[in-house]
Amino acid sequence: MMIRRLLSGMLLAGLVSTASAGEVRFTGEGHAYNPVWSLDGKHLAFEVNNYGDRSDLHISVVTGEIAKDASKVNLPGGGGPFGGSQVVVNPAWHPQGIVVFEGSNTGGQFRLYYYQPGGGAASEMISTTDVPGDITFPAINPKGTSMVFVADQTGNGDIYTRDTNTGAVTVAMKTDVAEMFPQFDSAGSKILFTRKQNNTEDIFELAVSTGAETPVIGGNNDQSRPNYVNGGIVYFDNSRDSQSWDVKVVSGGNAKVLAKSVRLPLRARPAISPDGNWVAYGFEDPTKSDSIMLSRVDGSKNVEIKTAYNACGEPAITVQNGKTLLAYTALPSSGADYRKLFVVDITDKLQ
Amino acid sequence: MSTTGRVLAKVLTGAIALAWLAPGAALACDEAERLRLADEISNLAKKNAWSGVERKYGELLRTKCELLFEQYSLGAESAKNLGKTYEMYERLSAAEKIDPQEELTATLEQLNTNYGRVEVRGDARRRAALLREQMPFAPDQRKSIEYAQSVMEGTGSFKGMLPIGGPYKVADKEFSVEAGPDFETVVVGNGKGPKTTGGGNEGIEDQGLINWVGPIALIGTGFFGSGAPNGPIFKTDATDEELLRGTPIVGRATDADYPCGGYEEALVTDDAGQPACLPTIRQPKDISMFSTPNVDVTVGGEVGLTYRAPEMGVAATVNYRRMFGSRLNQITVWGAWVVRPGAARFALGPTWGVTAGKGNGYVDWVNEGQTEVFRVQRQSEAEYGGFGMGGGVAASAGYGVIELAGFQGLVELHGHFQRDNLRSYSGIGLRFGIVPKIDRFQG
Repeated sequence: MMIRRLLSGMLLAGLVSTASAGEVRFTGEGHAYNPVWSLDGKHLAFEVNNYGDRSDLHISVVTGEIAKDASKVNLPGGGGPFGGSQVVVNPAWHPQGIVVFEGSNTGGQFRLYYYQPGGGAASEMISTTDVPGDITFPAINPKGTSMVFVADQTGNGDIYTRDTNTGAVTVAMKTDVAEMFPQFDSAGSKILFTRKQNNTEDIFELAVSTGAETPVIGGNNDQSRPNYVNGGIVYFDNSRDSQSWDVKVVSGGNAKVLAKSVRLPLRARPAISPDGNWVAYGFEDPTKSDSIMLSRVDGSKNVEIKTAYNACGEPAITVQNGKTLLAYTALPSSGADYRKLFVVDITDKLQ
Repeated sequence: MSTTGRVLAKVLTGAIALAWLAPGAALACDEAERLRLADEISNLAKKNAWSGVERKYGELLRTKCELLFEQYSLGAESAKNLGKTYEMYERLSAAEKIDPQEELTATLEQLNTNYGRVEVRGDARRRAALLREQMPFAPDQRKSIEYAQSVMEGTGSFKGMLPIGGPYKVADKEFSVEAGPDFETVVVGNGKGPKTTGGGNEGIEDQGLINWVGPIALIGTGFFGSGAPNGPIFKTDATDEELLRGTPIVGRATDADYPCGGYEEALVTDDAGQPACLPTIRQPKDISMFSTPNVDVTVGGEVGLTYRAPEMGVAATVNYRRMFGSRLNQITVWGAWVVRPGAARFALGPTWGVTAGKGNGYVDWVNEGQTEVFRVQRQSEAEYGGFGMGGGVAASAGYGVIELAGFQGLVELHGHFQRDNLRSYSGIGLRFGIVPKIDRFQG
């Protein structure tokens, strides 16, 4: 009784919201993971992983909470009825509405592919002549003038950039250890990345023009998957406990915890709103797993988005025609076989 | 029917039969060649040798055989890899007619959505570049533009598909590409369009030997100079009288100063080691550069031989200079290699000319006559006259400042140097006039 009153009070206060969500349907079986909105919020790319022989990329056209049935993206040579297994993951959108992602056919190397929603097969983004080996972690600067990625042709993950206007591929950083998760800042002048060294992952920033590297944050275990937000950098951190992840924000070398024991997405960075003011996450705690939480990055406000589903996670936020949309994946019921993808309008929740 | 009639009837029947069969024979499919080429295309495609696939696909079309789905598909793939988007679209359309696969239809729809049809009708002799300031992100769209640029460079025109948006620029025409079934036509230059179809290596068109041709007419002023010979130049055709005078005069008060006694003689040492005087050729003294202004008139023609910037050509001119104060005249012919980057014009080449005239005074090494035998004559009173011929080099650097009735109005600095077998002549100056205008596209 006490709990119900408390919940009612929170609902009235607008701190807890229950939102009805539209499901993004797709063909095939598998868990929906890693939704990524296009910059205009009209397309939603996500992975469907059957934990077997394939992980596919699907794209849906979204209008408000209404999502069209998603269509699968085929790698070259993988579209026919006898196409082999493919692994297609880690989508990133260009402002021109083109999605870039990692892809591998039947256990081959991971290469970068691109696809423009509308039909046809994906095409290879960077030829093996330009950059051989595995290419991963694509990210594109907000203006679309440059793309950053990681290539392992030296045996370690090094950071490369591709200039959109010239098509030139350049080594931005080459070291003897592995760099990961590169990400441009809004001006495209800095690249955020992590480096795995001595079994610990730390966050660094690279000045594109000079190549100068600046440590951002380190510590026990891993500080991983950084993302720029207003006034700082948000990231996942498991320095407190190697088995649980916190969401932290670092600014000027000072880190603070935004949320503890969150559900770590399969491969996504912390989900942030397009204005960089909010970060979204789900919880590991089963009692909280029917919600997606949004926190202002300055820690001033939290908004809980209650859902009708379980094990909510993998959030992604966009703004489409003035409406703020949240995509997330969840188990439709406790006994469900696969995680599904849902989209919900949360515009009024963030007022 | 008479015999003649039967023969005529047979000839007529044969002719009709031949006329009926001949087109069929011309269109016959070379099946063996088709199979061989299809096999080659398949092998080349496996090696990602798309230029080779494209070349063999062209040969395959010339077999006049009906192509199969796989051949159209591989042809489309090679076109895609080379940026030939419209060719890719046409080949995919042909493949779709044979087997309307869903994926093909989707690809065609995607091409129709993301590309538009453009025809740039330009001039093969004066080729404008196709520009897009911000290139698209997708590599195949980028390739499509780069292919169009290569076709424009090779032919001056382009017909095909380009990624939608832009803006694109050809010469002074700016346009955006929109999706749709119709070709948007952009006319630049004379808009004749290409004589050949296709592009890239298949579409290279000869631009001709001559890019431009036109007259040169310049007038200006400058300064002229001529250095005197350093030593005496002896007459090789001296008369006996002149040779008789070539004897040193010794033992007289004035002999020390005027041993040769005549202004046209020079003191030398003969083969026996004895002093001797020999007649010399009369020469004007030094003409200092800035003491002798001149007027300069140049006429001729210029022919442009290249098309890529900086354009180059050759010029031939006849030049007349009139030197004030010295009664000298110079007429030269000049053949020059011309380079014309932008509005500038540089010319350099050999020259050959005649310098003629007469005047007073002679060079210092000629003795002034102070003897009883010959009349006294001061240097300033001595007259010279004649002409000299010789070759040299001339150069000019100019800048186009205005367009004048289809010509380029030019101001240029010029310099020239010439030497005959006795002395050198040189000059500098500033002149203006017209040279041929080079038609160029902006950008």
